Amino acid sequence: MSVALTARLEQLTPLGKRLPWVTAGLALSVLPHATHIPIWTLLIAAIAAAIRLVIEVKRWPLPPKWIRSAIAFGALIGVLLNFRTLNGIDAGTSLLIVMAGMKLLETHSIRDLTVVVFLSYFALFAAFLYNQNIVLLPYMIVTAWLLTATLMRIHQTEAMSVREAAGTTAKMFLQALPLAVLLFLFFPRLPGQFWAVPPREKALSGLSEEMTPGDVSELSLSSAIAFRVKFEGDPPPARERYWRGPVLHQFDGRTWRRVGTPFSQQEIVSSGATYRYRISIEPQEYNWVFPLDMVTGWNRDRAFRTGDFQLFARQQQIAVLTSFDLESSPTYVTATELHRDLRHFDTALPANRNVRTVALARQMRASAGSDEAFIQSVLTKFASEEFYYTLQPPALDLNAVDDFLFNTKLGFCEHFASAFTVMARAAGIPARVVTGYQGGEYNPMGDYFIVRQSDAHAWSEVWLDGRGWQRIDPTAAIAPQRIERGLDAAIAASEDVPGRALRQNAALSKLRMAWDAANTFWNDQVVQFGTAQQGWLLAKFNIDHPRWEYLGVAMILALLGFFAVLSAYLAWRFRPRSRDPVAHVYEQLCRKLAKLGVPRLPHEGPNDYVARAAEARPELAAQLAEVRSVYVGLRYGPAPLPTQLSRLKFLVNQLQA
Amino acid sequence: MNSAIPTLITQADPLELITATTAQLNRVILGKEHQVRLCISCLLARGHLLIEDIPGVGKTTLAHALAESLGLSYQRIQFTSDLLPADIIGVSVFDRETSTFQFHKGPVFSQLVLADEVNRATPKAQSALLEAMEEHQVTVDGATYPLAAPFFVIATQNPVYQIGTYPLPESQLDRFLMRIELGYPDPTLERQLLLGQDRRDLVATLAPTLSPQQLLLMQTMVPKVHVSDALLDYVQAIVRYTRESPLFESGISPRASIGLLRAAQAWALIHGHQGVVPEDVQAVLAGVVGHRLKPRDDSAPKTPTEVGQFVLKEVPVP
Repeated sequence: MSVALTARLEQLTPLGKRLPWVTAGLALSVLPHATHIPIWTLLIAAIAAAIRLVIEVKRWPLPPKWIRSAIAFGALIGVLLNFRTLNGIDAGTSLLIVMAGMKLLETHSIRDLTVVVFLSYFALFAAFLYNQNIVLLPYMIVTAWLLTATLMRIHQTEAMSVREAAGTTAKMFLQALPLAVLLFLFFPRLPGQFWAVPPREKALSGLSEEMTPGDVSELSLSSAIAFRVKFEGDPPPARERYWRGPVLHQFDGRTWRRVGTPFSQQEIVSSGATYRYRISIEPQEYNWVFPLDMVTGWNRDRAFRTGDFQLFARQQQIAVLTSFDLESSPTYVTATELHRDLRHFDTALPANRNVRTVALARQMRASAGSDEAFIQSVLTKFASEEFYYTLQPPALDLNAVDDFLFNTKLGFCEHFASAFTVMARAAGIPARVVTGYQGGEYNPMGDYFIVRQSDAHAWSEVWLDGRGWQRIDPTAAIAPQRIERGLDAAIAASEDVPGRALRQNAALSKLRMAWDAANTFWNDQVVQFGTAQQGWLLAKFNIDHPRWEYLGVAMILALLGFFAVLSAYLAWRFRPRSRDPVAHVYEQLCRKLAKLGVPRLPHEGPNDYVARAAEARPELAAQLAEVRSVYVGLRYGPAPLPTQLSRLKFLVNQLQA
Repeated sequence: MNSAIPTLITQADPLELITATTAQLNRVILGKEHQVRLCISCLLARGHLLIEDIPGVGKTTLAHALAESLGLSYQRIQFTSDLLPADIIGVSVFDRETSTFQFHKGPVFSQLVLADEVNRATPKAQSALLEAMEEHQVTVDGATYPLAAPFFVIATQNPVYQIGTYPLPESQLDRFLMRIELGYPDPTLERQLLLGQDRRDLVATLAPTLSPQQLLLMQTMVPKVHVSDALLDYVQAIVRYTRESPLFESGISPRASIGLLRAAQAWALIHGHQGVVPEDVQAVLAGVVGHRLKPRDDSAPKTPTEVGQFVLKEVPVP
């Protein structure tokens, strides 16, 4: 910074000195949005801020109103063109940020600065709509702190140092903390979608509605977290940890697809141990819950299970972290009757595709004799022949299964699942592909499982007459380590698995787990604090199933009460200091004389007042003269006698009001 | 000095002496009891007085009568636009016999100085007087000469709208403890004035009612007049009001707030009050704060007297 510039900054007006702070506050508030809003909005806001600062330093006039209006209108149109709407999180946030920049351009008073600071608060907290990650929290707190300190400094007539403002703000934050906690705990959580975060337009990684060879292996490269699961009691062993997602029925020779048509509901009877657990699902594209196969218990108001046993949340999209309390049983029996249509549907194969596979399957079925034997022989074929489990399967041609089974023989779980299902269908066994996740990483710090996109998996389900739907996982045959110990163990050491080295470093792994545990605690206890948790908390106070309306009214009353008590205390604490007994008696006197028709004027001294009263009421003149002299002696004279006070009280009491 | 008056005064005496003095002054200046009392309060509080009024209402007569009644040495300086500081302070003259410079003291070395029409002189001459007033001493050619004690300056000023004046800036106005106006006498008193003796002759006949020693003693008594907490609350409320009110460009200075208290104490003393009461403060309020508060715009009261009355009405007595 040149000397001249420094000198110039010294000469800035009070507004000019505050402007950089306000601008910095705005910049810090906008920063968390940098990744998800269009870059041009950020640029416009930044340019506006820079122009405004230059104007201040150079002491130029602000741009004329019509220019400012034109730019603001242009920005509005820009946002509209960019998003086709002004509604929704992304458009709203972009508009907010652009307009905050525009506001800087017309900032010429303390009031404008205040508006900019409030816009900054808004922009800052809007970041929570995108990401409730704990990482953001310290940043948010520090920025909010800075904004509040700036707001305080803006409104001080005397110059206030940053340190002083920061100290006072910190104190205010701490004072407000108990109230904030109480509001957080007891503010009624409204049911319904009104308060929910609207769905997001941006694609999120995760399973999709269809599966083409290569999809799952590609997804497996992502270490993003899909969901976390905390079991009540012992968790199921790894081989039972199948997290059921979309069930795919339609096959075109290469790609498997979900079907939208509902299937008739089927009964499921648990035949073994059941597990109760809470699953916290990270934001995703759909409303899929990934319960442990097979889900037997769930909240009917929040989720429903389809006829092909997929569990859906009753909302458009799981746009924010959402938790479900579920119950599952890994050993179960489904209904033993399969509808004719469904049997037909789940044995359908596209004509003239994968003909070699179909021929092979029919031949194997014939030689096996039974469905069970056929399935076993197929699995044996996968295990014993030269099939390899790899994260980098080669691309397949249109007849993907033929290509895989007879040429490449390198595949990931979706190749095996697809091939197996096609063979089963070719043999006349109803079969379908189930996608989801398998396994999960146990976090000992928080006693829960982390399931990542890298745990994505695909397997098959076949219908065996008399036994119902059965899960067959061909991957377990070819790479049993995948099921027992996870992807890292199943993939050959020579192959590159993203993050494997990281996971195998004990210290780093521990650190990662600790971090995730902290995140999970934050998610479960704070972000996910909703109706259920609040109900549980209220139940502790013997308030069962309160209606949110009552809770809201109670909250408002409690707040009013709190502030009434607080104001009463402050009024008492800072009450006028005239509580000395002489003043008190004098006030009594004034009240009495006011009743006699001679109210005291505020600026009237005691001598003048009493003289006026005596004039108005001559019959009291003698009494008043003594009252006056005693009072003036007590209140204004040197060394008053204590006895005079009782004399004054007596005299004032004697007065006939 | 006259030896006919008592040289010792007891606690009870000041009141009588002052009563006698005011009575005598009131015989000369008819119908201006309040202003006379303010003038004496100002003197007792060791302040200086600014009388602002049109010519011929008795400013000079009041000053002269006061000097005579208090037995003070008296000098009148007529301020004109060509007045030089030396005309006020004095001048060093070369003495041929001793071959040294001899300082000839100027009119400022009197106990009561009447600076007549102070706003007619240039700021340079004005400030020579005002500096002497503030410091109670004069430094000429490196030598410091103390001024007389008691030292009391009465400056008169024509209202500033008259042509050819140099109005005193606020910083200079602040040096005057009080500013008062005399105003026209009411008709009956004016009639007496017209019928009565010439005022100048009357002043010449006045005998001192108070000696300078007694005056000095009474000046030391002023700060000892009791001031209660309740009264300080009131004074501070006034001060705070002038500083917080948007009507005035700035509030009164700490020097002025001390002055207000001293003037009120002096007023309480000459009225025989045991302690200062709010009415004492109110009596001197317009005189002390009126000329110190500059109205910010048209919504504020304009003249110093109006300002004083306004502040008085706005601040409640605790």
